[in-house]
This record gives sequence, C-alpha cells and structure tokens, in this order.
Amino acid sequence: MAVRFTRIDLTAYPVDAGRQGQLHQGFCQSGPLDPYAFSLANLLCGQQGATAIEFIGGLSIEFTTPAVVSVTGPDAEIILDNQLQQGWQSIQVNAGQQLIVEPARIGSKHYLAIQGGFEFPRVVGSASMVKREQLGGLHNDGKPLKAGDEVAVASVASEQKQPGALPAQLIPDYQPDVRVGLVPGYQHDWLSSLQWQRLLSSEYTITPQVDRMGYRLSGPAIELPSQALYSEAIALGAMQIPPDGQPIVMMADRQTLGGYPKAGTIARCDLNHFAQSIPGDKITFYQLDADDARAKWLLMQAAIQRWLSS
Amino acid sequence: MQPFGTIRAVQTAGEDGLIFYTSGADLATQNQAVTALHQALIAHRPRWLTELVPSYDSLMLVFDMIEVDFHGVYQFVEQLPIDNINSQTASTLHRLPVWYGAPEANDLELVSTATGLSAEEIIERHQQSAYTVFAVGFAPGFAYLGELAAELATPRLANPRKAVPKGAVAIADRQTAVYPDVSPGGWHLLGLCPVSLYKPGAKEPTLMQAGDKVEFYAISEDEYHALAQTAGRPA
Repeated sequence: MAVRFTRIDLTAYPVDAGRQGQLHQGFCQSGPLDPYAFSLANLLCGQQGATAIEFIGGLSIEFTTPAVVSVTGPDAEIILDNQLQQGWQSIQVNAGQQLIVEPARIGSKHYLAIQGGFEFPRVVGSASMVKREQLGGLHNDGKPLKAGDEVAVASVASEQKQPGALPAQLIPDYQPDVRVGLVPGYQHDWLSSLQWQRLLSSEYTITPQVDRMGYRLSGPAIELPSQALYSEAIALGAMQIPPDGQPIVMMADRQTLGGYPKAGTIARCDLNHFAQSIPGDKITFYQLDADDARAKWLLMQAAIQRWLSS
Repeated sequence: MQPFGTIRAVQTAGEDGLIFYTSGADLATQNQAVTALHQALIAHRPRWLTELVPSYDSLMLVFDMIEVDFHGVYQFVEQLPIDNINSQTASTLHRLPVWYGAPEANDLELVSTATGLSAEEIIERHQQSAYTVFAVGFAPGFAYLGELAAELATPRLANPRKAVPKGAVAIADRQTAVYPDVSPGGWHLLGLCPVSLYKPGAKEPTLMQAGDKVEFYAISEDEYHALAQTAGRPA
C-alpha cells in the first residue's frame, strides 16, 4: 500500500518520535516540532510514535487503497473528495479518494498520520528527516518530499483499532500570541533579578529566523555578565542568550552542544503552542518551576490516558 | 541543589533534565570527573535514564518524567558509587594517520604566521600529544580533542569556510579535531585523515566517544590514498 503526494505547497517530510539515546554521538534529537499534535495524530490512528508527515502549507494526497488517517495541528481546511472533514479526528478513506489540507496560516506545522505508519529509511533508529545532517527522507539525503512522490505505508497490526472521538478539551486552542512557561535552569543564576523580570515582563516577537533548529526572538535585550562557558548539552526548548541579548529557543533539530548561556527551557506543556508560532507572533513568558512544569505535563498525559481507556 | 564529591554545581535542564558540572584544578581533571560520572551511570544505568550527554566540564541527564522527578535523579546520582577511574587504562586509544599539508586542507602558512613556528615544527608538535575526547557534538561524530600544546593555539578563521573537506584535521584555541563529513567550519586546517569517523548506517555510527584518547601520526600522500581506498572513500 502506498499514498501519492500530488501537491506540496511549501514543505513536507517524515517525522517520528526522534532519535533516542544518540545525542552523545552528536546526532541531533530531531522529531516533531509540535510533539503533542504528532503524538495525538498517531493515537487517533490507534498507534504510538509511528512515522507521520510534518508539513507546512497546503497538501494533496491520493490513496490507492482504503486507509485510516488523521490530520492535527492548528486550524486547517481538510477536504476528502469535496467532503469537509474535521481535524483531530480519525478519517476513513476509501480507495481512489483524494485528501486536501489547506492550513489557515502559512508557517503553522501540521501532521498527517496514517494507520500502520509511513515507511521511510531509518538512520540511528529514527525515520525523522534532518536537513542539516543530510539524513532521512525518501532517499535518505535529508531532502523533503516532492510533488509526485509515492510513500509506502506499513501493514496494520491485526487488532489495531482507532479510539473514540477526541474530547474537545484535548484539542489545543492555538493562538497567534502565546504565554509560555519558562523553567529556570542552566545559567539562570547569571541573570540579575532585574534581567529575569525584564524577560518575564516583556513581549518578544518571533523573527523570520525560525527553522527546525531554533527560533530567534527579538525584544528587550537580556544582559548577562561575560563569563567563560564551555560548550554543554542543549536540552529541548532551551533558551540561549547570545551576546546581543536576543533569545534563541532551541528546537528539535538543535545541535547537541553549545556554548551560549541559557536562562532556562520552555515548559513541555507549552512547547506545542510555542512551536506553532510564526514570524511576527508575540510571545510572553511566565516562570514555571521544574516541579510544576512536570505536574502540568503529567496531567496532560493522564487526560490522554483517560480518553484512550474510555 | 547542593554540590557533592567532584560535582561543583547541579542545575535543571528542563523539567526532565539535570546538568551536573564537575570541579577540578584544570580542564583535564574536570573532564576526567565527567568521564567517571558518565561511566558510573552507564554501569548502573537506571530505567528512567533516556539521554546522557557528556561535554567538557558537564554531564546532562534526561529522564522519563513518568518514572521519576529531578529530586529522585539528584538523589540517585549523589548516592552513585563513582570509581576514580584511571583514564590511562580505562579508555580506548585511537591512532589516526594524517597527510599533513594536503592541498585541500592546508592552513600551515597561516598557523605559522600566528604561532611563529615553522610548518615542520607545527606538524611535529601536533603529533606529540595524546589528546582526550572532551566532547562529541556540533555534528555527528565530531570529537573535540584537547588539549593542544599551548604554542599551537590559534584563533578561529576570520571568515569561516563554507565547506571544510571530509577528514580535515583542524585546530582552534587549544583544541584539535577531525571533520567527520563535509561541513562549514572556522578552524585552521593541518591536513587530511583517511579514517572514516562516521558511518551513519552502521550499528556503531561514530568512531570516537567522550573520554577516548587520540594520537596522530604523519603519513605520505601515497599512504593517504592507499588508506583512503581501503576505507572505501574516493581518493
């Protein structure tokens, strides 16, 4: 079984949960920019962590065989052979049908999952494409899909059944301007209380310099004492403060080590909202300590489990 | 979080990460403490540990938040028996051949101007030290080796190269490295190494691990081409 990507307006490429236990060799983590939307797209197809497509901009896909798919992410028009479909639900597709997705905003990240999962070459245990490392993708060269590409779909496990409808409270309310939790850590102590308050009370704008490695922000500069720092491991969502004081938030394809001081990390419970911001969007931060950030994340996981077992 | 033993500081690195910073009289000692902690964690690997990323003077642990919180991780590490490993005997030694002055990777003149040493002296000094892999990062398989002899220390290039050739042996500050693949880079180049440091499809995709030792030895152009061919790469 295979599906054909007949139209790709901007970009589309494979993602799975990312590399596991490979950071120490210099392989970046990779995986979805919006891990929540990716994870739910798969759960809606009755599976976990299977290879899905992350895409920006419109998409058309043709099916030669029946399939169960789901589309998640911010607002998008989803059309299956002239029939309007819902995002964040599983969609039954018949052979010969065409699925069209038209995102409402250019730059938002969307996920297409299919029951069984898409089949792509795997490198260091993952099918996620990494442009910088020229790894992954249909030809394992770090290049995204092209219009006309056919992608194979793995056969479905016998008793793989999609769960019931997703409750509304599990669908994120993506907004252009978001407030995201910042977990103090790393060189947080280098910031004077004045600088920390400046970071928490100011509005930052997402600049055009956004990619899968990191998002550059612009706003009031954060001043840090100039101290020597050896390169060290960069956690997902870490906020680097380079010498110009303009924060850079490190995302899925970030390099594994870096020498800029870091004020903290974006809380996992808000990472999906942050990841969906596009150039021009306004971001504000609130302090969320590690214990509270973990508690909020666990509550999200518990709500997902309740839905799956209902 | 209180320092303990060879740990001078502990900070959160996200709600699912902790980073431990080591103490020591110099960088080599600090890095040895990182290696000791890293090996202790591999030997007593807890189920909740998902990533372990050593660097110069730090080690980041990432954990499964379903299983543990950072308090539990801190307690586990504080109670971990850490052997004071003798890095001379415990680590792997890699002996890497270098065609010094290979035309595609030759900044010997620039290094000569910066250091006041002749090309022969630079090549000689570069081979004299046994280096430690302080960290692996920047790109898959890229190993930061230290410490370079102080008289070879050079600043980075004013204009970084867009494409440093695969296998280029480079120096910057008191570090040296071999580029595992073509990549941009701002270090001064001394020559080419024919050994493949990075095989993306292999079970062990990278040759060098943090804590390993590395020595360089000079080979001729002919030896380089012969070795490059056996390594299955275009000569």
